[in-house]
Amino acid sequence: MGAEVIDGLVYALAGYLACGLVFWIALVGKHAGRLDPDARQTTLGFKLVILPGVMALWPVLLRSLLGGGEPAMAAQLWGARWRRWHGHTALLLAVGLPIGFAWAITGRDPMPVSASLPADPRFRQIALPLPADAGQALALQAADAMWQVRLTDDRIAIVQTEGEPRPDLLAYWASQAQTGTALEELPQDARLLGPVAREERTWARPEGDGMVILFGLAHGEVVAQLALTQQPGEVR
Amino acid sequence: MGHAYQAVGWSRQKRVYDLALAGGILLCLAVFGALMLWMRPDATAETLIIRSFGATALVLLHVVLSIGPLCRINPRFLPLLYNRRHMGVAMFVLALGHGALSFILFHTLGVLSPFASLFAGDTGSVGFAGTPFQPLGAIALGILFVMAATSHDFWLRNLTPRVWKTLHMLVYAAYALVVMHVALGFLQSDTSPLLVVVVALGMAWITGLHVYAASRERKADQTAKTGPVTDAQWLDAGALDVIPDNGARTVTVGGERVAIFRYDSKLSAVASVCRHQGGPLGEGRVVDGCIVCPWHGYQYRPADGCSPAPFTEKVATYRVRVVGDRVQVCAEALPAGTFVEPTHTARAPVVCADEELYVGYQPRSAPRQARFTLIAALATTASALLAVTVLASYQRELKDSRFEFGVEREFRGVIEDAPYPLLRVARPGTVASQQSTSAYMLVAQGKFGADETVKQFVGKGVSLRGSLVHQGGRTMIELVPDSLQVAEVHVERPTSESLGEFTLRGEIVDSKCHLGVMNPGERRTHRACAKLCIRGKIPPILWVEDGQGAVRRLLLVDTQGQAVNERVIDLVGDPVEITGMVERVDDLLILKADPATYQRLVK
Repeated sequence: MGAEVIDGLVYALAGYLACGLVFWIALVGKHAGRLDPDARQTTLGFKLVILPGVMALWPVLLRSLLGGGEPAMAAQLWGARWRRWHGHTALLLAVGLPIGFAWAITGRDPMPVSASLPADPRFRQIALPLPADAGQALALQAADAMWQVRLTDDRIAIVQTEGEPRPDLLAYWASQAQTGTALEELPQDARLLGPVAREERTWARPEGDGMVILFGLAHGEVVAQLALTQQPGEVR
Repeated sequence: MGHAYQAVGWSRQKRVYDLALAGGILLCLAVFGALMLWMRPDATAETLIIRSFGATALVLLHVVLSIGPLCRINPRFLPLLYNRRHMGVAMFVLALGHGALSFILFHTLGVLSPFASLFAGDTGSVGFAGTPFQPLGAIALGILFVMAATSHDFWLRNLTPRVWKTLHMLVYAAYALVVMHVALGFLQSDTSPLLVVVVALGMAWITGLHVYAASRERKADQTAKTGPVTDAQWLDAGALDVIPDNGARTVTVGGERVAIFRYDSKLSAVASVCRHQGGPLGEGRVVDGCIVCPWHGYQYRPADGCSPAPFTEKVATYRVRVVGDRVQVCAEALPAGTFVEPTHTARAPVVCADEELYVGYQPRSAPRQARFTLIAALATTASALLAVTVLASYQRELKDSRFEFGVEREFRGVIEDAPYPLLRVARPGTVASQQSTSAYMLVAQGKFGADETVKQFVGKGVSLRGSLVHQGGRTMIELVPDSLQVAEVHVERPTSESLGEFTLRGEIVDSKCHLGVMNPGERRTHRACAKLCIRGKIPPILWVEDGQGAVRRLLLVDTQGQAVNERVIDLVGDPVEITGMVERVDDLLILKADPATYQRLVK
């Protein structure tokens, strides 16, 4: 079915419901007693409770009001027919629904997997990954996240271990190791190592003393800093 | 009825019922929500609400549908039936919350009208398992609406019980639609076997219970069949002694149930179908001279089948007589409310009716019944909690994405539009030339791309405001309307680098939702929304995994480097295989392939 047909049907439904609203106003305002003596003097709560139903089924009530409907309290013996119908429905449900369910479940598509992926475009010029137990592990902490920095003589590896992900988080090396004060801006001489992620990334360790700075470019802020000396693991 | 209608005719037992119902619902919502917050903390608040409301409504629908057959099997469950309409309305309200929020999130603010998106937007699906599931849920919600809207005695009277019951039989259609909605939606995306098991168990319980109750009823009707006697008008209704005092024996006359009541050494017969909701009058008792329906306590005088004033309900009556120790009933039903002189019998009754008939409008039920009701309510709550626990705990892992909704930031960079709009931002400090910039994809608000917004700024330095969307190293900005301004910005233009030809298997998703505006923003539950977004020019990306945890997201373009949105709509949300050239531009991967060569991978 086309979008235009759906839109047309929605407008028609809206018109139908609007007619129902008008009918409800007329019904609760004046004609309720004609339809049903018990609805003659009722509460506002009752009037509101029947509003959705009147909007949906107003032609049925209109028919009753005009006298064309089935007598409300007509004696009818409908129990046997209804029970039969109910039994058939239960049987249909018990047979048809499991078939449909099983069909849907067995037809599920597995999540497709690609054997070979292109290289991650974010990470370039990275050094060989550090072995799992190599170097000294240091914690780099911000208010809502934590990173692990691993250092060897010639390599530096960083991975986010906990906390909130940050958009476009970059690791920098600054040769002037500052201690005690939190940086508000990235130093002029900061040198980009590369993006930081939840997977560990390794870069060649610049020579001399310095500090690792995590800079969130999208947020425009220094997130965390760690001052290091030439001796691996020595932290000021 | 015979007195003015009220919104709700409260009684003590109804209040207790509603309090227990509200407590159970809140408990289910709380358990589901807490488990999701704990186990799936990356789910968005909208996902949490949609799923907790949906799961609780699903569980409650099972409870609603269980009560009827349980009462047929054991009348001690009748207190659960007494106010079942409130349970049904509560279930509809939960389903409405689930449906309305899903409708707003997935189908509004797009190029199609919301209803067109719901019913006609999810095109191109293949196979039964690919059937769009959201229209099924919407139709079920429509049925539940009609049922909830007519859950008042005003409707029983004015639609007539027969029409009302027939209308409410649609609940079975709604149930089937709901189960298929779950099977074709949630269970396609979240594939834990336990989730399948819990839904299948619920289905087996409901269908099994109904079939069992129906077969019991049928057998009972066969047993209660009246036999012809010498006069064709009169039928044998069994021995007098089996009719309990102040109770009834139900027999079938031409398929219809007739209840023969014994009270005050008299016999009277009436149609066994209550005028209210078709309750089994023959399972009721005579209290204070009136037959009391076991379902909702409607009363009828045995002799004329009329409710005592001011009520006006009437049921058909039958003539009845005693011949020797046998009872005979006349085959002809008399018009409702016809007085029939009761038949007197001098024989002392052998059995008495159960004294503990539950009547909902009395302040308290009998102690044994109250204990049973409490146990049944606790067992129902425990089962419901177990079901929501499984539904919450075995959902698939969600990605670590964020949408900084309501947080506007300023960005400076150069606008590009080929193939999709993006802002190229210079990285500060000393940087190697090939990683001197970051690329932030740009989209407009709602389900629209930013093509029109950035058109006049292409190639220019700008400052703009927007909210960040990010996940797994990909960053996107949802632009604040009219926030773009030309600014003095210089950014080195990166060169593209070919990485060669790749054959990749994955799913086409819309980048905006997938990167974090929604979570989950992929797979079947999100397919209709993804199609609407891609129709609105949000960049389509191919999301691929290697099964070892590595993920790549590649912007899709054709072999000429042009946007492919309209040409991939029918494949969105399904597994696909695409062979094409992969290029790296800055930190973006671009997959160049003719959309006509994309292969759908469907079982």
